[in-house]
Amino acid sequence: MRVFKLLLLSLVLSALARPLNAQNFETPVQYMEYIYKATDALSAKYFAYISAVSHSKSARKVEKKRQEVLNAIIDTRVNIMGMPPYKGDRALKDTTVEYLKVLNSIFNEDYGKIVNLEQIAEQSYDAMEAYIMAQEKANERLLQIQERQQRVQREFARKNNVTLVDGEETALQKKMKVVDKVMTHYDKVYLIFFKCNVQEGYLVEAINKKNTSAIEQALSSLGTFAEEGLEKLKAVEPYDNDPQLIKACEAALQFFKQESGNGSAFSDYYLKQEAFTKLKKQFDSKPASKRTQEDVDQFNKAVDEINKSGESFNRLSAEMEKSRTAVINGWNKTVEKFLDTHIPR
Amino acid sequence: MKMRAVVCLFIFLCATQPVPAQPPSLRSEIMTARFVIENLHIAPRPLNDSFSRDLFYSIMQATDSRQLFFTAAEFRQLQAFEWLLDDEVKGNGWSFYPLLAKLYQQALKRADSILAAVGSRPLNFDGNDSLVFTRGKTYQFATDTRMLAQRWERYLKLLMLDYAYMHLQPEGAGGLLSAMNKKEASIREKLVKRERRQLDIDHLNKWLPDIFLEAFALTFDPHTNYMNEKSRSDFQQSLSTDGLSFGIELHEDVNNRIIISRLLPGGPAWKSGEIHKGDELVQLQWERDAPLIAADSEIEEIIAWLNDTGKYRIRITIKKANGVVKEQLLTRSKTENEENIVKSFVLAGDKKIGYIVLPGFYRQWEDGSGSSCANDVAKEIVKLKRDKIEGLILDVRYNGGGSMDEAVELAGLFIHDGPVAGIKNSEGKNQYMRDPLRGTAYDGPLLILQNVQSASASELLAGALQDYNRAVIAGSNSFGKATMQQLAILDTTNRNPIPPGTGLVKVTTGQFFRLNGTSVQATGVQPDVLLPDIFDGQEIGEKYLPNSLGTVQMQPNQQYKKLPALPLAQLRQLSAERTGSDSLFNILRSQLRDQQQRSSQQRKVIPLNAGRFEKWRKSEEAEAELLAPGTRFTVRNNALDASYQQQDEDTRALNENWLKTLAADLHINESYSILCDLIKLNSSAKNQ
Repeated sequence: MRVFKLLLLSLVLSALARPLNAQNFETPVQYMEYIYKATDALSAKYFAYISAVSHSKSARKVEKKRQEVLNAIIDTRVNIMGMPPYKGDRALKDTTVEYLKVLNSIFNEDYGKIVNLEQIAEQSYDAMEAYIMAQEKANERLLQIQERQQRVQREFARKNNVTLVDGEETALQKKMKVVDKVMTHYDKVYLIFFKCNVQEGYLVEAINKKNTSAIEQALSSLGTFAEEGLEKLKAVEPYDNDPQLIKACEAALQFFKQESGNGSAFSDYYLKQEAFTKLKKQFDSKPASKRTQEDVDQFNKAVDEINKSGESFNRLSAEMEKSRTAVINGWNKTVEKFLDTHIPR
Repeated sequence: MKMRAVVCLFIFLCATQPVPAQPPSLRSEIMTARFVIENLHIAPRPLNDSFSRDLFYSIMQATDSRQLFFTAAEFRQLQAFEWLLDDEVKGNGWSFYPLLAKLYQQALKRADSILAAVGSRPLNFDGNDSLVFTRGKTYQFATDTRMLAQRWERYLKLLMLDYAYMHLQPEGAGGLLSAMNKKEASIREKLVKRERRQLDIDHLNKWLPDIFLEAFALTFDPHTNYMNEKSRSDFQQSLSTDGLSFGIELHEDVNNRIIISRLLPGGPAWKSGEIHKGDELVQLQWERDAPLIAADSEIEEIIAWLNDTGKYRIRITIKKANGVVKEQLLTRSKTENEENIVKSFVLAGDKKIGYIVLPGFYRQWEDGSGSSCANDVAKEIVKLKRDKIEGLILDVRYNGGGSMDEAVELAGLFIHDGPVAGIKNSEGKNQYMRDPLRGTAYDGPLLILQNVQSASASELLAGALQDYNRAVIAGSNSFGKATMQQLAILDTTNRNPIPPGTGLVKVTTGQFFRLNGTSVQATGVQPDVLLPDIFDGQEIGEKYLPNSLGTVQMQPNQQYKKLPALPLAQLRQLSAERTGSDSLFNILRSQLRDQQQRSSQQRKVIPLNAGRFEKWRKSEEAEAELLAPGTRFTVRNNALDASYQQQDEDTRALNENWLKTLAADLHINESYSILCDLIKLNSSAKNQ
């Protein structure tokens, strides 16, 4: 399960920067308040989405809420785009519009519009790594644009003699702060899980294709990622003394590590199967009268061995499948429980 | 790019829908070849005076390398065009080729008459006659017909002596002279007949344009080739109708020698491990049958002989580039997808080392189905890992290359992830080819064994693993071919279907680079541990080929993560101490010194007196192969192959030959010891 984390930081901060006590009270404050109210409405929509994710079992509801956030971002952007420049000064309006554009792309996972995906693809190994890197770069971009928007806002206030003071937090703002912390913890653990989970997907694909080169390499990668992940997990602090997410991720990683250790049995079995098929073909093509005792003994031994290997292969496959289902289900359930526990209602 | 797509389509159409049509004229074919090559080539040479001169001498080399056809006066007529051929291929005039065709036809007819006359009387092998060869590219043509006749007579004597030496196996007091005197008439008749047949005057109009086109293509670089319809179908002809074959493709070189130009991956010749690309075919002999001597036969005859259905086992005699003559028994068989194309063994001694031999980088189908060498090597690695190997030798000696993608994938078996090699294409675009699969199939100590015949994709692999500090490279300097080629059809008119008879060109469209930004072009991959080799001192390698492209550099790749450095200085020192006190390596070194001394002589005098020729020939011959005593390790099959391999007579004999050959191979023995050193050095570094 992937939950989208964004908006929070920026909107909470911009909400805190309330204009107050202006000399030319009417125009610049109204101008700033219009922008503030629009973005504050967006926070409410986002909170509704994150709350649906955390406390609702309905996928339809979650998707509906996600769509509402997207629509709200677009509407807010259109509204702010329609604002006139303030006394010829477009800076505040333009940076806010740009900020909303970045926000939209991130929420939509349409990173190509805000970061150079070609460059990212060049620097990263595969789609999974590119996805992680694109997210990181997009978040960096969001932070930059957000800082700029704040700077422009302060500059706008200074030029127009508006004094900005931090106002009292609303209930929504308080909740949003909690959401931000919970989601930051979730994101950290999720990315560790995600990397191994994708790599395991490659392994399963290679096993299904019986491609030895891909199986062996996926196994070694999975082992490396699982080890790295377990190390990284040690450094992650539990959220609010709740280690359940870390534990679930650790259980999954331990399974992946074990799987990478046992996985060679797959290539091994396929190679035996291949060698046996060849031997059988040669054996069958020899007339019975021409077969030596050595041929027959070798063939019988091979039949025996391939049968035994087949049995242990099937047993291992079934055990792995069972363990895989258990850890993945365990992870998904823990994520649900974690969010349900910590995301404010 | 668009053009390439069209080209591929046309190859298909041409192969499936032949229609009768007029073949294009040479002049228009040259124009087309120029257009195609200039568009696709990575660094097309400008058509200027220097190009003209190289093209001119390339044509002279192809038409009269031994100066047996043209007189000095005729050559001077042709030489008037030495600096003008660039204009002619650009479309300004077309006088050279008609003149060449006229003079060459005249010269061939004259040679035919001379051969008939010289061949009609017995030749004397007891005099003081000799043939002198001088190094370098100077052309010294005969002043008149009388001098030409003298040259033919000497040349014929040389051919006869060589033939008698190879096939009569002179013994006893009389030696070669007595053997020759007994068979002089029949050998003379046979060789004169062959030489006259090879003049092929009747079809001059058919093959002389091909020589011109081939010379034109080769003037761009040694791997840009023209291929006529015949050479394209050569390989198809080497497969007989019953689907059984020996898996060899043959071609005839400029000296009329029959050369093995390709081995079918997994075919009987490939699996024997004794036959390699570039070997000269000397003789073929079906079981219980008279031999067929390659020197007596046309290539078509040899192919037909090889495809004689109903016969299965053949004794094939080949001559290596270093002069060593070997015999190998091959059984004709069907090469199927599931064959074990790559072989692996366990060398068990002080340490247990895996050994994999890879003679080429193949991929059976472009869509990835069927065998691919990286996957096949991975399978052998799994088998060897089951046998608990402590190190691995990957032998790419004689591996002339093949699929670059496979080389990249193969390198990826040993590195976790990252770029493997840089590529520059004809559009000037640089890009890096990356390991397509994250992870390693083998992460233990690794040694790549290469020789000067390891080229192209082999060099990409060795270079990448060296740049990553992943493998120790042992052996000699590699060939030095960093270019990549593509096939293009010689048609720019988009006619559909392409008329039959339309040629193809293989064009050099790219160059690969090492991660450190350097290129192996002309320089090769320098081994970390240099071992003396029988090919040392011979002019083998890209840098010796005419018109070879130079070495260029690109920006080093910043993203690959080097592994910790290998203890190369210690490995080199330990190996030098070992080979320095090894009697076999010392014999090899002394043989190489003698060989080098001989080859550095400016003039080479070949006696045409049978007795003296025999002595000279023996002194020129490569020494018998040096065989290691096989005490460092025992060679055995990996456990899986051993229990599933059918033990019929042929398989057993082939397998035993493998085990024996590997145990006796000097370079494998030394590679084994180098890897043992590496394992020990690694473990003592870990304990510190």
